[in-house]
Amino acid sequence: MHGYDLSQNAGLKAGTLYPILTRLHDRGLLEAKWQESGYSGRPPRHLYRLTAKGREFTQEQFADQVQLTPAARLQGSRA
Amino acid sequence: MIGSETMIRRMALAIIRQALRLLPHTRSEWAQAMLTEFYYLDRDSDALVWAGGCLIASITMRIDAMITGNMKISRWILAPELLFCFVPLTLAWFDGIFGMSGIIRLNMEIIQQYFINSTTGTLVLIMMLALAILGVLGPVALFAACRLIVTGRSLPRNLPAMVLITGPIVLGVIYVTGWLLTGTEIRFDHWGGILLFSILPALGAAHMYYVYSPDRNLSMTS
Repeated sequence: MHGYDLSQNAGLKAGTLYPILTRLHDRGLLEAKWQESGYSGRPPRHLYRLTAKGREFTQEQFADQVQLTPAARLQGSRA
Repeated sequence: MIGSETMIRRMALAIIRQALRLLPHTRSEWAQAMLTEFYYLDRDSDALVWAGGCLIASITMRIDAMITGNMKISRWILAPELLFCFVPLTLAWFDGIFGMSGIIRLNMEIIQQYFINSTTGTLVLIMMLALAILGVLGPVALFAACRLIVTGRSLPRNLPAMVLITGPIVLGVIYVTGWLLTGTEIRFDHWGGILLFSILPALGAAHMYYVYSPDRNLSMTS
């Protein structure tokens, strides 16, 4: 996904998004490469993709987050 | 869209270009990435918001580069720090050589009349000579600091570095000894002089030597 698309999907402005992307990239969680534009006269764009390590990391984060939601805790107490 | 260059787009582009200059050179690829996204934004309002975001991102990344927590330090901080350490000694040395009471204005007649014939005069002459000889470390250190700031090359190792560190300390010791022997009342401004012309240059040289020595595998952030 490209920077602007990521920004729109995540609801983050560039000012928040890019420092996050650079940190993820520095930690080897994100892969970035240049992709030629499909439009003539426009420069290549940076394309971002999670690495395998990044996918593992996100899954762990999501798992932790689900466990911490009130609904999940409620379900846990009922069980 | 590249074709339609409205005033807002030109303004947004100018903001982005200025913002990206703030980024460390190690982030140049990210700067290019943020800039190229701009060309895919069709609406002026999006372009302007994107430009504002780039400005904030650049500032954030610049601050990240400056806060390293392992004794690395940005040139932006190093430059004023080292100037503050070495400029006072450089100016004092220049004044001690070429100033109104500079050593080049002395001749044998003046030396005989005012300095040689009394203990106090001799001690003052020794202090002046010490400033002329050891004070030259001020401009030398200033040159080394400028080289470090501009090129990132560290201080020459061992002996030259030790001379730059110990020289100002020796100068300070000579001055304090001279004041004590001549019975000069050491006031607050005397200690200020010791701080500016002795302690700070020594600390600055030590900083250049220890923090930026290549053996410690510490490099400077841009």
